[in-house]
Amino acid sequence: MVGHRLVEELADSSVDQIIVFSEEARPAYDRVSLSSYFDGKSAADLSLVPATGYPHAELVLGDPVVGLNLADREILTSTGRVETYDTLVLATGSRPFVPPVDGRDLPGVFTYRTLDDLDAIKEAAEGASCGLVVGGGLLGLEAARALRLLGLAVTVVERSNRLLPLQVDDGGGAVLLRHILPLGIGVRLDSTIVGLEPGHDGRVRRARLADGTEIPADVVVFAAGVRPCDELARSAGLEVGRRGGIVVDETCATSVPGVYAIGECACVGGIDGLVYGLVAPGYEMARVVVTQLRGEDASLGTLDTSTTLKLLGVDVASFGDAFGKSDGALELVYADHVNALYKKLVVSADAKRLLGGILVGDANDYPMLRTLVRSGEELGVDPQQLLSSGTQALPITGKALGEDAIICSCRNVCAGTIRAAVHDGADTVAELRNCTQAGTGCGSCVPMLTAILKEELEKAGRAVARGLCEHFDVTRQELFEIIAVTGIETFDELVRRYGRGRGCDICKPVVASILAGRPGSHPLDPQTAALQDTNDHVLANLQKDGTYSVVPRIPGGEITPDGLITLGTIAKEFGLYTKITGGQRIDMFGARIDQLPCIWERLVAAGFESGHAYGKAMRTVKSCVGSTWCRYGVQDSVRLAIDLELRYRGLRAPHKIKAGVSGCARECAEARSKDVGVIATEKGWNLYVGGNGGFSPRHAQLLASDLDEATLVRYIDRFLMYYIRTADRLQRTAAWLENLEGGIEHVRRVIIEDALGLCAELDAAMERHVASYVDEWKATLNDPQKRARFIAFVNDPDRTDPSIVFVPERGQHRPARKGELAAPSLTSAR
Amino acid sequence: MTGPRLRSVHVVVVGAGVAAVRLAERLAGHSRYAVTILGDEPCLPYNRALLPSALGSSRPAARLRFHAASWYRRNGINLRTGTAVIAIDRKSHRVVLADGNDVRYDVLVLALGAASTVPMVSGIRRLLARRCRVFTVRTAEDVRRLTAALHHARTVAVLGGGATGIALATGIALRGREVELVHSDAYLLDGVVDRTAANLIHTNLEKLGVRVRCGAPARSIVEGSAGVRLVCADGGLVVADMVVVACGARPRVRLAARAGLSIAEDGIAVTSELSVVDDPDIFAIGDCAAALGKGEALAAWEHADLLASALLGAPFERSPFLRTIRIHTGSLDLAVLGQPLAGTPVTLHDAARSTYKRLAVENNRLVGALLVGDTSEAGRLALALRRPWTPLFLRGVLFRYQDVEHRGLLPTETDLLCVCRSVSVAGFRAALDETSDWEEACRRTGAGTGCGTCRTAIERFASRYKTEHVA
Ligand SMILES: Cc1cc2nc3c(=O)[nH]c(=O)nc-3n(C[C@H](O)[C@H](O)[C@H](O)COP(=O)(O)OP(=O)(O)OC[C@H]3O[C@@H](n4cnc5c(N)ncnc54)[C@H](O)[C@@H]3O)c2cc1C
Ligand SMILES: Cc1cc2nc3c(=O)[nH]c(=O)nc-3n(C[C@H](O)[C@H](O)[C@H](O)COP(=O)(O)OP(=O)(O)OC[C@H]3O[C@@H](n4cnc5c(N)ncnc54)[C@H](O)[C@@H]3O)c2cc1C
Ligand code: SF4
Repeated sequence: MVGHRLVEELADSSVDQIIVFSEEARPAYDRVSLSSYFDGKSAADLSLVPATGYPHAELVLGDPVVGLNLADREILTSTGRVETYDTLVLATGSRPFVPPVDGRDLPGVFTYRTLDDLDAIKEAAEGASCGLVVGGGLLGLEAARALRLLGLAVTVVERSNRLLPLQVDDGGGAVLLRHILPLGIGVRLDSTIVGLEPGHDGRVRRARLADGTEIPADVVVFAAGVRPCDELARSAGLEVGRRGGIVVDETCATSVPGVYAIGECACVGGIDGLVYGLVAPGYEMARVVVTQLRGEDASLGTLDTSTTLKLLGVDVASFGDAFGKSDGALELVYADHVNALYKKLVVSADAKRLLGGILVGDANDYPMLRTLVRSGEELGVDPQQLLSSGTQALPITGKALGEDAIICSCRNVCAGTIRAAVHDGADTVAELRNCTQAGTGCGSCVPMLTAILKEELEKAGRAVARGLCEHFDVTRQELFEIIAVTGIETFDELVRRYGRGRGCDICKPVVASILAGRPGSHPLDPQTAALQDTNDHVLANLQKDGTYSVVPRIPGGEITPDGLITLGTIAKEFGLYTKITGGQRIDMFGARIDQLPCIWERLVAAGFESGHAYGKAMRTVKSCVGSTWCRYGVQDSVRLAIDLELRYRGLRAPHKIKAGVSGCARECAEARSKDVGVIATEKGWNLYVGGNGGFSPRHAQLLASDLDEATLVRYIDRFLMYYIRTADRLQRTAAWLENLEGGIEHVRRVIIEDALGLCAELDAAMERHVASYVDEWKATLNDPQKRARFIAFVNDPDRTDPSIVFVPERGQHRPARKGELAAPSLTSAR
Repeated sequence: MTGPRLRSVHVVVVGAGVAAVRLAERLAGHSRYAVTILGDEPCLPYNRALLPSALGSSRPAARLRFHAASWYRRNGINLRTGTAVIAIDRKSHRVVLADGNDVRYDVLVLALGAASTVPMVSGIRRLLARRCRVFTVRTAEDVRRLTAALHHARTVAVLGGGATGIALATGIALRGREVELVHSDAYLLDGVVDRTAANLIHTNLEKLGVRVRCGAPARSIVEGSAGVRLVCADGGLVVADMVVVACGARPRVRLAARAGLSIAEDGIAVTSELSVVDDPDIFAIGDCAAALGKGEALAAWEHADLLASALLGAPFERSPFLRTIRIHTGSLDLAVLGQPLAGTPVTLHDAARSTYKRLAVENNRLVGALLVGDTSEAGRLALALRRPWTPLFLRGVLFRYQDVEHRGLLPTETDLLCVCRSVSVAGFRAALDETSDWEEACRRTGAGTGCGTCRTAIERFASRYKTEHVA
């Protein structure tokens, strides 16, 4: 990667000839994103080099350099090619370190570094059931998730007393476990692998730990650290570090003139120097060499070792002096085991500057905090405020930054340059990127860019654009329109044509829900599955102990005795805890992820459908008993509720939608606490919208009264569609109405008076939804590829997920509380 | 409203301490009961739990007293201070006083409290008896004597690293004496707080100039010409002009034992209704009774409330037992509420401010809180204990958001604003309606005059009430 960066940056230089020799048979690719290979990225997606090769360099693939003749400035390749050089840059990276344990050469044992490794792992995973990852660092966790995605039960064995020992401290490690275990990844801390043993077929079958325990393992991945590839340099007589790595000085020069070493193979600062296993320091080294080749002086700045964990849904970031090792450093720690959050900030002895930190569970503030560390500016706020409200607490964001504070360290752009660009006319982040290059590297500085842009625009009295996130300058509504108009079907295409970068946790789920909301699409379709929230991901609701709950649709809350019996039988058989929900249905808790398809097979056979309790979608239409039985009822509320629920089932929206129908003004269905509430009158139905229970309850407001049924349905159609089109991500109807200019009056004009001429379109959209509805669970069961997502331990029926423990209570069972965990999967060898 | 009167029932309370006063407050104004309190201390009853805060005062008893003498008179309570009871004659329903007189009772309540524990240190008893170098702290008189002795001391050793020991060590250090705190366990407040808190308290104590020595109990003590020398289990030597013993207390049971009442391991044996197991006419409450939560003022108050309701035939809702420890000496504030080590923790440790807060949550309830360095939220937390929390509330308390009550949790009418003095929201509001000054309302209702934990919450409540009321 670093070598590639060097070549790329030499594009318009005066260097006459560049030859790149590569050991791997493919051009440079994005190793940092290697794991996304398992999320549907192809080798071509990951490639960094244009398909046509470098325009200004010769690229020799699959032919490693095997000899160096420093005296004559010659290299020799494996095929016997000899080339002379003026300047030699070694960017050989590193190799995975495999500790010398018995059986490390067995088939089924892998490392995790190259695309070839990943191909081999993929192949071995077919027909295997248990995976083992040696090493609980960043790589190890990525590898573990990859094995999970391949359908294996995974255990991570880590020698230290916590996961990510280099990135997080003990407190952070404890909270991190609360995130990792629910992914179905077993963890053994304080454990060392001492041997691997084969089965009858000669492939690896199990692993032995130092304490004598044996763990089944059909696939073993070593992620126990890396060692710099310095053999070539060593044999040619270049100086190497005591712990490996080609020794370089602050200009990246080795002990021999004309020879540089950059990236993971370099050992910076003498024989006891440091080898940097991250890409950012490597890029800095590339910059230094490029500058020198262009004839200017350059030396290394501070090398940033900040890191984040790239696991979907598990936020971990570690930056700066994360362990508070600087002189007099003070720590502020917020550890919330209830919400599985951990935040630590390390500040200087006078509490004025941020030195580093650790974030687990929520790393949204990482980019800004990291910039603060790097800039070394005074905080200007009490650090505790920074801890409590994150970077929102910083009243002045970019303002405190001096002109020469580095904002983008990948491209080395300072605040002054960015401000100047805004003054020269840039008014979007995209333009800023174009003209300053800031934010085109890892992208972590984009929030700061946005902040500075906003400040400068405001200062100059210019308008501020409001985009969804750093990847899209458009809002959710606009994205919705774009998708509707262009018919774009994949996130990648959308981001390529209308955004930038790879997307983030904000825009990915938004796009996923819009895509899934298009008629005829399924949330587990390959192009959207990887973008979903955890719940959508498995079409079930994740509960606090890592199990899932299952909620079949019970339209209007009406259920036959046979239906009840079916649910009861299934619950009993799978040992599920049952509870009647507030939405008049039956929730069954405690299902393991691998049980979900089996449970649903039974439910679907009995005529049940998905209740979409997991999705940002129409949930339930609650009803009272209505005129059929009730002495007061004036209309048949149950039938209407059923009709409505069946009409809107599966409708995806910015947030969940709930509805209710009451048979008379007594309002037993509490319809006015719903997004859509319908209350019977003598003459027909009153329609209320924008109600909300929960944290800030709102009563729904009257939209229209005494409607006949056809008109009622039409209005609800339009209301919902209008909401879906114009609301922001995670905005319930109540908040949407509140923020809508003109409020309920505006809605009335749009959907009753058709003031915007939208009604025909809204009606058509709803018709398409109704016509194209299919039960997501039925579709999932029928599609082996989708089904395969419910990775299972079923290949090994004796093995249950050890992190899930139940205890009995009131005739059922519930998840064990802390302290009740009889046999936690976190087995410590202490 | 005087109708044909029955002879009233004579309730005699032995011991004029924390529990006794609460019982009297509860029975005051009920003509069915005539109350006599017999206490051996010469002063008016006072709040013993606040004794450490009265260090340095020449009249600690006056400073901490619950009521003026006129209050007892006005409420028909016959309070006899300086009156020790030496025996109980159960057959004739009489208690015998030290001066040979006796008092007849219908119902006898033993509220004898506890006596300081004397640790196993050889030579200590002899010195204690001489009352010049070694002191315990149980009564206002003890504090007065200790204060006087401090004038002549330069170096002080405190034995015991519990809440009392820490509070006393801080108080003494703040008066410019050199203090060494000797604690037998590996860390301070063992079992009450977690290690992070203990370490922070340790550091904060040292910042105040208190030397802290943990993990080695004192073994022997000898008096020399220049003071006393303590030898610890690890061979360490502590030399000091005087020694303060704060090693806990044990229930006073002798009077009961001599009357043939059963004694349990930790006090006078009582039923769950607090009557002694051998005699339906005798009750025991507070520190001397082997009952739930004893050893803390809150428990004493709860016992008194429970007994009063039983006597009055009123329903009593046992509040889940709450522990409160509070040390308030500026730089070393500490509050322990409920069971902070139970449940799932949410913590905030700020080394820059030397503060640490730990909230414990169980089944969606706040079950305990531990605050070190910044106890301004203690009152709000005391109110929130045992109630469902919202994540916002927890974070709000940890980070001291000002408006969190509005969004998270508002006290209801029957909630106790002040747990110690049992003042409800409704009661306090009534007082506020009469006087607009919240401190005056506190004086009238007694709110905030117990452990003081709730004062900030009360102040906030009052100011909000005023704004809403005026608007
Ligand atoms: C799964 C994974 C996830 C990662 N995630 C992150 C992350 O989130 N953040 C981060 O900062 N870093 C991450 N890294 C590390 C990052 O990929 C490396 O720091 C970066 O790739 C180093 O670049 P490099 O050019 O020094 O080495 P490499 O990218 O390893 O390139 C060295 C190349 O030189 C070739 N080579 C070696 N010897 C010879 C020879 N004699 N002749 C010819 N060619 C030779 C090698 O085959 C290799 O292709 C991750 C690594 C992995 C494997
Ligand atoms: C220094 C110190 C600090 C404390 N801090 C706290 C704290 O922070 N929080 C907390 O909850 N608790 C605290 N306590 C404990 C609290 O003070 C006691 O739990 C409480 O006082 C018990 O009340 P009581 O009525 O049972 O006993 P007491 O208040 O001790 O009253 C008993 C009274 O009975 C008298 N008496 C005994 N025998 C006789 C007799 N035969 N005749 C006549 N009178 C007799 C005693 O002299 C005494 O006056 C502290 C205690 C001390 C000493
Ligand atoms: S809302 Fe009216 S019709 Fe429905 S159950 Fe209540 S009283 Fe009966």
